[in-house]
Amino acid sequence: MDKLSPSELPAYVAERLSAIERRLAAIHFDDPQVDEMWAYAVAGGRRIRPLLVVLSCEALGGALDGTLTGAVAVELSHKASVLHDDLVDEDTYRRGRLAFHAQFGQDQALLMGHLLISTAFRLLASLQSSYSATTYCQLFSRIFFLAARGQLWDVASEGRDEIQDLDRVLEAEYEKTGTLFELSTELGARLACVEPPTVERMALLGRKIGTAFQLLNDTNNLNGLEESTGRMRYSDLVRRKRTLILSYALATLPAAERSHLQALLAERLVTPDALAQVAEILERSGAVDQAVRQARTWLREARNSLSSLPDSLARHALAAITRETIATATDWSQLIASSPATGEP
Amino acid sequence: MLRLIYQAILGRVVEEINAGLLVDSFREPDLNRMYIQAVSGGRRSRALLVLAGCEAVGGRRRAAMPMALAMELAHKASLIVDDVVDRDLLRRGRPTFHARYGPRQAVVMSDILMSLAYQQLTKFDRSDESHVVAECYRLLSDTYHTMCLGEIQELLLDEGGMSEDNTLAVAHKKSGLMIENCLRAGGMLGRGQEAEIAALGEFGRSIGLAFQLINDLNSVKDIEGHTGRPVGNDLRIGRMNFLAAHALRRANAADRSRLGQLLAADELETTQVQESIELLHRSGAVRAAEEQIRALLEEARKSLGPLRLSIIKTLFLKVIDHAGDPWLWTS
Repeated sequence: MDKLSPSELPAYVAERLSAIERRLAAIHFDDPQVDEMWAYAVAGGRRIRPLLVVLSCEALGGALDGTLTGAVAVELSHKASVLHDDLVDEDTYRRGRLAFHAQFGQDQALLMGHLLISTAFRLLASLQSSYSATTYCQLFSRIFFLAARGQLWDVASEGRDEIQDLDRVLEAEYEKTGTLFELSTELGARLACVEPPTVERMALLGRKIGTAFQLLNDTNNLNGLEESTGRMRYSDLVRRKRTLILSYALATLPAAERSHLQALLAERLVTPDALAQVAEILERSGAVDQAVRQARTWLREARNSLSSLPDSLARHALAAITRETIATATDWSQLIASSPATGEP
Repeated sequence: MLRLIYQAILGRVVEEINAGLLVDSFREPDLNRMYIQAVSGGRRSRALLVLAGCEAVGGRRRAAMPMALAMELAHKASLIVDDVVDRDLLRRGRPTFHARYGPRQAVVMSDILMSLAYQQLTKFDRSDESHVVAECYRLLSDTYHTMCLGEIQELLLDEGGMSEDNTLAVAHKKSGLMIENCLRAGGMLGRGQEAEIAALGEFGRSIGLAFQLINDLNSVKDIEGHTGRPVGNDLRIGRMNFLAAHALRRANAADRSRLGQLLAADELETTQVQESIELLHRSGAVRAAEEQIRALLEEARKSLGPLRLSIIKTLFLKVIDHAGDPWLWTS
């Protein structure tokens, strides 16, 4: 391969993104009203997950063409979870426009989420090689279950203020977001037909990036940075979500402060004052730092594991995603920039 | 008669199905309880159809069990979704999932059940050829996909413009295709011949539509609690079914406009429900539905032709003979 030039990177990524867009746009229903809703559901977002599928495959020597069906299936699964998550969390806005349920109604959001996920399985199941179809459907179903389990745990744990097993909480953070990232990189690796240990390594890479992503989302919901994505500041507190941050604070605060926090949480957290007070306690407890440290460690490990791949534009693009794409629309760039550089150009 | 068959022959099979469904998938006891609540109840008819399709072509039902459980879970997921969309608080006399746990939990549980449905298909024997397993994924995703599309379209449809055929097409998408695909999948997993699998599919298609029409008819008759729902429920919520579509096109002008008014109303009094039912009778809609059911059952009987003689075939013929049997429709 010729010497790589970083200046080629934007065009390289743009080409992949437009290939993904073209495939997504090719899905139609024989009903203009359904097409309109479908387009709304599928539009928007940075396409990080399908891009991860494509790049992971190409970084391991696979070809772009063979990845697109899988990439589209991953994006549809992601959009399905976006529709259902916004519905369940009653978030009205996403990325500056109305959430699907706010635009088309809750019933349609519930049904469209199921339509998206079943379309993903339909695409995979109709792959020419029935061996691939079966393998990828199995992979998707395992991830789909874990993601739904994380969501169920999330909803069922709201408002529980007792101390909980931190490992379980961390696992739920993985289930909520890490799963689909893991799916993306693992699928990419499998599409490249590499040996199982490499598949394992790529799966772990996605898992780390995705779970770090979730922890940073939790952090940004507290410090207000997430507002730029349309989610209301403190919405996790209002819903009394069991984030790692809250769980860590409950587990480590001195008894008196813990009782104070629990008392605050037991009230209906509606006034900006009470919310800010809780956020301040979480910050002071060191829980926020702990979450950020954990995220940073994973991102560093992810970058380390990337540096062992052969040099390629795909690898550079993957590194850029770990470093920058996560950072768009938030202040993560600083955080990632401040993590020690590792074997990367 | 049907109750007897169900209890004598199918009772043990239902136990096997339950053993496959009622398992803990979570570490948290409260989540397991929630899941068990979501999959309990009903007669396991979707699972039974897959197993019946398998045995009808001479297969062993163990070969079809993962698909049977998958279809049953998908069916349960669709019931949770249906009940949310229809705002139904009771099903077969029990509180619906969202009535008990809330709509947010219902959304998530429907996802859990669908993911578990797909997960079932990882449980086929290694010896199963991958094209058979891939076909199961295809049938399952296709069935659920079509079902969702049918529901979405039903919510979008301009009700006044719906013909009887439209209502039958929607009914096929929403429930008929699943019955058809359950039988088809069973036939395929039982390694039946092409003609047998096709026969099972056609039988499923006709009997599925007939069941939908019988259901529509029951809802305007006085079969109390045929699904645990009040009489005239479709009319109450203004849902367009075959009967209403027929009446809106065929009744005289005065009746047509009155029925249109009643269906458009937000909430109907009991006397207004009675009035709507009378309008349906007078328009000939009830008679038309009965004729349509007879024709569909006849098609179902004919489609069984290529199927070899077996207990299952006898059972299918009995179901056709007794399709209106209140036992099928009461809780």
